[in-house]
Amino acid sequence: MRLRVEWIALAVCASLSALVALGGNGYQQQIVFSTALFVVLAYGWNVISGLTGYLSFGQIAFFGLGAYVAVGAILVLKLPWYAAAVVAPLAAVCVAIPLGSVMLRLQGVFFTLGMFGLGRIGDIVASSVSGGAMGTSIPEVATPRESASVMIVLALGAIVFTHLLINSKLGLRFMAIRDDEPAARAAGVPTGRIKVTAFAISAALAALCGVMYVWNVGYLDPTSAFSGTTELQVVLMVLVGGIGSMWGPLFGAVLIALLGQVLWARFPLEEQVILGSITVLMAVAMPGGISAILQARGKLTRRAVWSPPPDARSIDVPTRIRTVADGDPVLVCEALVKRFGGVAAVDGVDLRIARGEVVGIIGPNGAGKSTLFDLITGFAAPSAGRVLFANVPIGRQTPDAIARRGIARTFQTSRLFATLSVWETVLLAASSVNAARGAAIAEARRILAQVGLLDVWSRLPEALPPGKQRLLEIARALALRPDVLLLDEAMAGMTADEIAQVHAALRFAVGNGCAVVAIEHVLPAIATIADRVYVLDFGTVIAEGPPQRVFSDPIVLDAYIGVGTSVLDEVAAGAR
Amino acid sequence: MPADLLHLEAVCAGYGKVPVLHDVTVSIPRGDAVAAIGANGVGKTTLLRVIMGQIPITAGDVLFDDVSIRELPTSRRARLGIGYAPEGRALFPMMTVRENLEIGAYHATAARRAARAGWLFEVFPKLAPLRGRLCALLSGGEQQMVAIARALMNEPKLLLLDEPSTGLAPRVVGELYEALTHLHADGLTVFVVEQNARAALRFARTVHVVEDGRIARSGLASEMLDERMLAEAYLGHVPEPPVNAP
Amino acid sequence: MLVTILTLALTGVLWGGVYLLMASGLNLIYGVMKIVNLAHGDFIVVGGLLTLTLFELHVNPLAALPAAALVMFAVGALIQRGILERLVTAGPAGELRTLLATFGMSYVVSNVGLLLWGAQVQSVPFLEGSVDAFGIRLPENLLVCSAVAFAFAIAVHIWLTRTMSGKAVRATSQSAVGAAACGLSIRRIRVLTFGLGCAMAGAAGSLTITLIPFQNSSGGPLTVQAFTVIALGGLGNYVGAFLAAVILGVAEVTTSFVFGSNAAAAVVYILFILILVFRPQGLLGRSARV
Repeated sequence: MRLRVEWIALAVCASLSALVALGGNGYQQQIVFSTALFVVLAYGWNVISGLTGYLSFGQIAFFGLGAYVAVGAILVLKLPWYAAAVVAPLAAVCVAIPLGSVMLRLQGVFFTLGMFGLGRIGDIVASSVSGGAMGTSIPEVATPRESASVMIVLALGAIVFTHLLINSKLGLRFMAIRDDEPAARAAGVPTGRIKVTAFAISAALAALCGVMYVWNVGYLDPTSAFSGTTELQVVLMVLVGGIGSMWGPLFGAVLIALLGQVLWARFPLEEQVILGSITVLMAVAMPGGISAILQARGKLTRRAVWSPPPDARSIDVPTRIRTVADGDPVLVCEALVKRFGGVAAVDGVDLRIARGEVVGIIGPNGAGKSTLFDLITGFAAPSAGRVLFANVPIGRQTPDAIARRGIARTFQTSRLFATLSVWETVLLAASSVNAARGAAIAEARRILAQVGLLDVWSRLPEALPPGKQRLLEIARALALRPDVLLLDEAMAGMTADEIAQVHAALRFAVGNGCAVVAIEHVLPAIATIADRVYVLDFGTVIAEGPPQRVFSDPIVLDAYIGVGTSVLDEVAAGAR
Repeated sequence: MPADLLHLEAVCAGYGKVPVLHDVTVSIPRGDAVAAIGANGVGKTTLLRVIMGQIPITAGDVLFDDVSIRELPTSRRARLGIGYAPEGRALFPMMTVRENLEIGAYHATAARRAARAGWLFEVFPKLAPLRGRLCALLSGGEQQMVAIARALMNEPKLLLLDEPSTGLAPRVVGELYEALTHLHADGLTVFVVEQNARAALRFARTVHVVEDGRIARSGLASEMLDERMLAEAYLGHVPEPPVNAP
Repeated sequence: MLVTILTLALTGVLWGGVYLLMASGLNLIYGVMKIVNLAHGDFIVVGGLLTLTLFELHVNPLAALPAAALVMFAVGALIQRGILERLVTAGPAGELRTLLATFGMSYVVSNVGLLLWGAQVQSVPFLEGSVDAFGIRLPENLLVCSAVAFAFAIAVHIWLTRTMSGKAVRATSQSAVGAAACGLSIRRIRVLTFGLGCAMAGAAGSLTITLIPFQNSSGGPLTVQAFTVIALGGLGNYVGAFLAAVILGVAEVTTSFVFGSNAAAAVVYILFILILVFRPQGLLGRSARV
């Protein structure tokens, strides 16, 4: 067991640090304290920026917030330090939830910008609120021995916590959001709530560090509460160790904290220039940090969540309540329109899909097929018309809610999670609709077996051939146990064997009442199992009916293969 | 002077670790009109990207005028005389038609640019009254004309077109190919990638059918008239009979 | 009362010119490369501190401006050529890495400032009189700096819209693929753009240090300020930025007058967040790319 080695090494290091904390001199104890403090800060930052992929350069604001709440709690409420250590993280969570709900609506760069700004005005706000740049003292201060010992315990706690997190459903969801947020939503992950959770956890850990800082030095001023150096160091630590990894923050924190001590002693003025330069260098030359180097050699690789898949005999697949009766329409689109600027990509489409039906949608490039799927699954809002699922309008529900309610989809260009294994990809979707861990595992295993991906359960998507990647996307959608399955050119690039496997899985789903709507270019992929085909061109349905009739319709051939039939005659005439 | 203006020799290429083109060998003879047809996702666009150097090739070579260009960046290839109207047209939407054309001959003198643009407004008379309009405000057909005209600004020896008919009404496709036919008649070598097989067949002399990143069949356009075969190239092998020829 | 309001409004508009110049460089860089340069404010500060040094050598701040701009152009071009260019081909992870790199860079730049100029708050005295008209009193230095800033920003705008080299930069920002297909060397344009963006930051710094004192660590808030202008005007939208700069100028001057300067900094930030969240496409409501 390779995991055990790491934990033994950690136990040895922790014991050595504990010996220093208990028996060393004050200077050594302070080094232990600050290193352990940075370990917690680094793990905290890693939750939002590493695991969840929302790069935040403003988490220092929560450190400062925690420190100020602690000062307030100790001075005003006369609480002991350990009570402050509970109150301050709670306060940070109370701030992080509303703040995160707003900020995390921003995508990528804009979130980073927003948090960067927050970090930069933290000390301005603090100095206005606390009455200037002057510091505040607290009466109760830890001895170096106390603070170092407590900090070691907290650092170990942060490590164990991260370990548990990475091996949990929540951690899996964080990583899915990091890898591909729309795909996570399509897999039923309520991304809004999950992101805020990550943000709040991260904030709480930072605030806890703020309390410990105050308790250790007994003094607080705005500049050190919102110190840019601390922010930079934390970012650099995680970057050096390996952003988003389990052990990276620990490596980085120890390394950079010790380097920081040396720099601070020898080059106090140049410290930030040196740390900043290393940050730039790491970002350019070694973005994966130490962890990436180790993982490339097969060391410290992450074990898949809730793995390995169980044996077949332990399977107990839960059943799903039927939404509508056989033959009733489960999905209806009424006069659906989507305009981009002046162009109508979807222009008055009516669709009626019955329970257990297999329907193909074909049409040339740019006919509006994928846009239609976006409208049905909530990834785009219609300009007019509506979508009914099981006779109820879906209105403005979020894509993840629609996915959980029973409309699953795949994407035209493959959207898989780069760092999630085959098993985790399917498990993620299965756990969105199965609250119980056992049920989710059973469902994920059943589907992998069904599509023939069980033997590659531990692989990452990039290690699969293209056909198997598409298969995995279908498996992810099927794991939601949908009533309607929307496949967007899902079988393009598959071998005949793989198509046969998909067909078997689809038949099983259809047997359970699932309706399948498939956009396809390679028509045999769907023709043999389709009950009906819709033909789209210029955003409207130009033909509809059983496959054989539609494929021989001259209008369809025209739209599909090209301009007027007379052209062929012309060419033929030219050849003669 | 070599007979082939462009030659791809056993080219392999892909995106990241996903291979798209396998061992593709294609020649574009000087003065020819060549089309590559095939369904979505078979690697037609990748073929053009390889010629322009937008993605690196993992094996093989690309020769233009008998000189290897595989190490050259896109801009150098363009300046060597390859005009390119990329997928999705890649116009400068917030610039006028005239400005788009000007950029097409960035390295030429102002007088030459003006003369060339004047000639292209004759080739595409529809564009002439629109010269001051932002490209974002043009119709799809007009945008495609701008893309082709821009690719011709630098007086290229070879014109590469990526699915010029996408999203256009049949009548507009006809107009577009009519203009291309005139240009080709004046001696321009053209390589067009198309999903719209009929339009391509009408225009091209040589046709390559692309399937799964390989050239599955090649021949003269006049020999590719079997409706059934075409239908199969696009729709796949439709299980039960026939698509009746209309 | 009316005079006060008019004074505030005019002062705000004048400050808008300085903000416009601050933001234009950032806007240009974002427009062409989609790079969010977190070190932009620090480049502004260094531009100002360079002006300080030249001033101490008895060079007029206005004469120092081109020098500061040139130095920053060289610095920016080198950074793009040597560092950021390596991240262009990094794909989707490139955005994250570029942010990390410019974040690190912001510390490097501001602390090089610390090493060269120290941590004290600095200012350059320049035209300390004021102009009175109809009871409205405006400082001379603000009038001159604002005029210079507007002129600089407008000159760059004219360059972008009227000259072939400027059009090449715009073309690249609208479609890099199209620009490369036209034979433009995208790499050279990126180096030119980053250099020019930094030069504009340097010029803005030269002007700003004669208006408000600052120190090596003032870069962060300036970055936020510049981004607020861009966010308000719509990212990559040069006309929107003009309007946004004036709005921000008036808002800040007014808040500062009523609630004090700390509140003004907070107002800028709150404005920034509100815009990002509720009008990500900017106030004009039209994205720069169609």
